[in-house]
Amino acid sequence: MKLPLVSSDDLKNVIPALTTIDAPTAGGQKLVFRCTMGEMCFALKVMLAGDAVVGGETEEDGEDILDEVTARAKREVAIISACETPHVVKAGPIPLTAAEINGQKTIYFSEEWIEGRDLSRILQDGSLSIADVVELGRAMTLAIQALWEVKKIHRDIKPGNIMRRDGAGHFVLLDMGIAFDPLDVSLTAAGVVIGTMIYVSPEQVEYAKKRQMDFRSDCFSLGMVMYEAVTGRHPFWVPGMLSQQAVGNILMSNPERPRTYRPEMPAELERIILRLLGKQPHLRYRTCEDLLAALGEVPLT
Amino acid sequence: MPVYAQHGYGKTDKVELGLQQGSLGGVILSPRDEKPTKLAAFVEDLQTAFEGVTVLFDPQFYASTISPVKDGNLPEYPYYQSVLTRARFVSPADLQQYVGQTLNYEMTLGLDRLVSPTIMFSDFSDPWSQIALSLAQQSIATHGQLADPPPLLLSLVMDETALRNGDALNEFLDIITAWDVEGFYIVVRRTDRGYPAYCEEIVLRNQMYLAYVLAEMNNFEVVFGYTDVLGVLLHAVGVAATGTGWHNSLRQFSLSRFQPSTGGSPPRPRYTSQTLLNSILVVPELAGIQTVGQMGNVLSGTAYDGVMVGNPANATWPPATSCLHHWEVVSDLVEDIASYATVSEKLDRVDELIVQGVATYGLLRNAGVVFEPSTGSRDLEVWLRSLRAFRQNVGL
Repeated sequence: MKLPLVSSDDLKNVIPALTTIDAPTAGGQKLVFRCTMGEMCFALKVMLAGDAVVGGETEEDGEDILDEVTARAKREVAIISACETPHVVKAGPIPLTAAEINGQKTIYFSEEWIEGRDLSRILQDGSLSIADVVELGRAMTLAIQALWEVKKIHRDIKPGNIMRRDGAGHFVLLDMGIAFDPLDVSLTAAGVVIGTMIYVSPEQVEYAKKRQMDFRSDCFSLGMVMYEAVTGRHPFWVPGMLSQQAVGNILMSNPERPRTYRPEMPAELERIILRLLGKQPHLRYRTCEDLLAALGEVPLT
Repeated sequence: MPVYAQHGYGKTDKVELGLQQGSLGGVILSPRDEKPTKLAAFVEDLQTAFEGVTVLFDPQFYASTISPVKDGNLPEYPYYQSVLTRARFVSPADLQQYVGQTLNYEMTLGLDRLVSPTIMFSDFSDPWSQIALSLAQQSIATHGQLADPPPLLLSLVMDETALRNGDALNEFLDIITAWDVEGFYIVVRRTDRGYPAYCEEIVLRNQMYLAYVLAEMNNFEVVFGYTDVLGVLLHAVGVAATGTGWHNSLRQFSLSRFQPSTGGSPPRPRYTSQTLLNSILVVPELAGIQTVGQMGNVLSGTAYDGVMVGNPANATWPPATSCLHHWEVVSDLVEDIASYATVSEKLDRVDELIVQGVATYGLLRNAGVVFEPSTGSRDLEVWLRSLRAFRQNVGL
């Protein structure tokens, strides 16, 4: 998927109300501009709209015929608008809009701008403190819970999609672009594994189980992120390993106990992480409330 | 006390006595064996006389699919229909009707738990198991629409052969653990019609896994019906309660309970030994133990078994006494297990009890006592292998 060729000046022409527009950064299929409108600061995401029609959403159904990118963006905006937690990125002031820019069919929408660093960069400096790992687990559980309240699964929980705000230090989950609704029309071709390969859950890989997926799939990914945050290592992958091998390990292998690498970590936290990494969803936590309660019992001193 | 009387034909006053002596914490009612008016009165009497007693009503809807069926009083209950073929479970409106009528009837009894209607299945991937799942989901939906209902237990009745397939069990558990419900009432149908029924190692291991995942890992309230002494293993992995009754057919579930009788001889008197974890025959087994002077190793020391100290062959041991003694033994075992804090410690204790039982059997055999296969140590050896395989599987 190509990135759109759009500059800050192009955007200023399309949306004159913008006060300032910084140079963009590229993320996946989109350009992200830091913008202001008066005192309000937000991120504007711009991407190329495609031509392919997503099955099931037809004019007969009373819906627009959407290409896949637009359908995903529409879903993403709907999700971030519906989730009421500080741990899921919020919608910004500019709604999902289609526009032709430089002869390209584009779509754009806004979400809050978060000042801070993403977890993948933070972890490059070393593992987190135990208290921070527990807070990371708590924040992401609240995010998973908020998503599941609107019957959505994120499917791509990984350090690169988690920001830590400057100041209060809240962890925030980003990028709902591939979130999945088990009851809705699929935006994904059969047999395609969606999500960053080394952070997928076992059931994301097994196509037959995809319609049965629920929030416990995100809990598995959270387990991998927490493992990495506490030990500095991925539980199923080492640098240089093929991602297919990592997926094989996710399906078939048990990770080393986290305390092998971080002996001083509380046993309670190790138990939580290993339980989240259960191969079957029924071995993880039945509810987010149960997981939050378990995290609340981890001693921090 | 988490041992419930599994109600059946000929209850007399055994349930009340079991509750009075503290061996029982509740009862699982069988509408097949009681007329609706008598059953409703029995519920009221129990609730009046025994504060905190748990009264569950197994609607036995699964009998609807058995043909020919010996369904006793069930046709007198407003929700029961017979005989229902698979075609009668296709329409959502039909499922809604079966569930609605059953739960509405239970609401009239003033119970503190409702138990959903279900049908029996033999395999987690057969069409009947899909119907069981649909009935369960409909029960959750209907329960949500009732005015101020007591919590709901979803009932599942499965053939033990279903438990041979661990992969299918895993997928089944993935589905049912996602449901928002208080708990489950589970019955496992035994294929061996002997008493005690022989249970394969893999079946028992997976039954323990089923219980552990639901009760311990996912915090559901889990009640297993028709469990007998084997229920001790299930208590060790977290179940809330188990049911066992007075007849052999109320201690292990078999389809014959709902099929026309083919005749047979009356059951022989049995004695439940806490050490042997089994109900052995009074004659010749317990009498044989007395002959070789080993009674001290097998007597359970309940309020009833003093009469066995002399010659068991001459002891007065009516079925009601045998039943009350049985409940006290099972209850003592469960209480013993419950005194340990963690699942791991509880399993250690059960392991210890089984090893002790096997050793006692060895001692008795060496002394010349002869046991029938079903009342010998065969089952304990299977239990031990199942328990240890289960522990290895779940890392406990």
